[in-house]
Amino acid sequence: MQHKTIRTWQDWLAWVLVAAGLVLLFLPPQPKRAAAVPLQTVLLAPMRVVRALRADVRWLDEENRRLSALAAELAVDNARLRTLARGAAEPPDVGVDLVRAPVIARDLATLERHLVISRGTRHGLAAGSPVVAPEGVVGKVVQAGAHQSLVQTILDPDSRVAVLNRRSRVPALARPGTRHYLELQFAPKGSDFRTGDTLVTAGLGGVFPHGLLVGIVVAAADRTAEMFKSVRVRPFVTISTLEQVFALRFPQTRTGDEDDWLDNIGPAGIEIPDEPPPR
Amino acid sequence: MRPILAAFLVYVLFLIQASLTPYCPDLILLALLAFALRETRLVVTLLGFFGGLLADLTAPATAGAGILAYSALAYGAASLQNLLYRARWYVLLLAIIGIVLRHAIPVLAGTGFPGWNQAVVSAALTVALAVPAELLISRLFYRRWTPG
Repeated sequence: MQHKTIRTWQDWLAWVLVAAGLVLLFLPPQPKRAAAVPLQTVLLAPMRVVRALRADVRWLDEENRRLSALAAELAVDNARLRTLARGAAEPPDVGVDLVRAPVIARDLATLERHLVISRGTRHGLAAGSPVVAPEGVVGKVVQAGAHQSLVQTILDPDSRVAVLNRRSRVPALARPGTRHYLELQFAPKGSDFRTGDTLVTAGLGGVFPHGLLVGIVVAAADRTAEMFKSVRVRPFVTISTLEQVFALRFPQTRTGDEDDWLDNIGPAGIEIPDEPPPR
Repeated sequence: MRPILAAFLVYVLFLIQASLTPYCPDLILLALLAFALRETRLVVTLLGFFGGLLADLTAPATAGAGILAYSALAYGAASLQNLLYRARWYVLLLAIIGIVLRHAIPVLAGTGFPGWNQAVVSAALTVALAVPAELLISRLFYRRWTPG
């Protein structure tokens, strides 16, 4: 009997709780909002903490990405400026002389496939002389006149440069790709090329000495439909804006034979200054 | 001690449910059903009141709907435990009744409806998880897998 009384008491209390919900439902919103504030402060505190943490994590993630991108850009800038500083202080020790050569003309179609520089065989240049800028490789001389030379840049479709990954030491062949980028040929699938890797000349082929900066890998992927790894490289040198380059003068290229065919060719609209030969 | 732990579990489930997308199952309802089949009516109604209060805190203007739905459901399920609890599929039946009640009370009171997509997805997930949740709570709180 006593057990039955307890159950009834429990039932009444339970009904009171249910009825409280019913009464609360039909109260006007304003007092309910006011009464909810202290309860929200206490009971929803963990949610606020979790939301704040999630917002912090999201912000830190975005900040991390932004700073990583900035660090990559700064690394490229740093490498370029180091090269500039080294070039300004002393010529690189590659066993050759540097011949400063202003760019006096460029091909009008793309502005970056061929350049004409105001140095030629009288200055010790010859066909095959590498041409560089402080930032990296520009191309090579393909025709040398007495006082000016035609330079085929690394973005010319016929150009190929043997390169080497400076980090993993994997060699490959760089050829012009699309939109001012280079692409690597014959990089085996699975070879170690990663975004951010610096490529330098491999020293193969007898044109470019070993170790000249070429570009930075901006994309590398193994595609199933292709035999080789797909690697996209951004050259360090912005060829279309070059105003001055350096040609590398090897002792054996100082032949003294003058090919004057180019001296009579002036790019349309460009006056080529008649410079006296060096003493 | 067990009712306090049950209330804490309801609180944790509320925090999880409120932090997830609206398309998540009604975790408070699942916990209430599992406890309703084993605890006394008063304890379960108190749990329902607490769970409803928590649910109503996220929308104070319509407070009362959650308390009424959860406490009534808990009381009803606890009252039927000796009548219905012969096999686990009754949990599914109670889950469906609970979902209907949870949505019907705010609609009847004119405080709103979450929308059909959300309601259907949430209801389907709740029904799908009803038996596993009852099994889990039975194992965690009562140390057995068998019903009743």
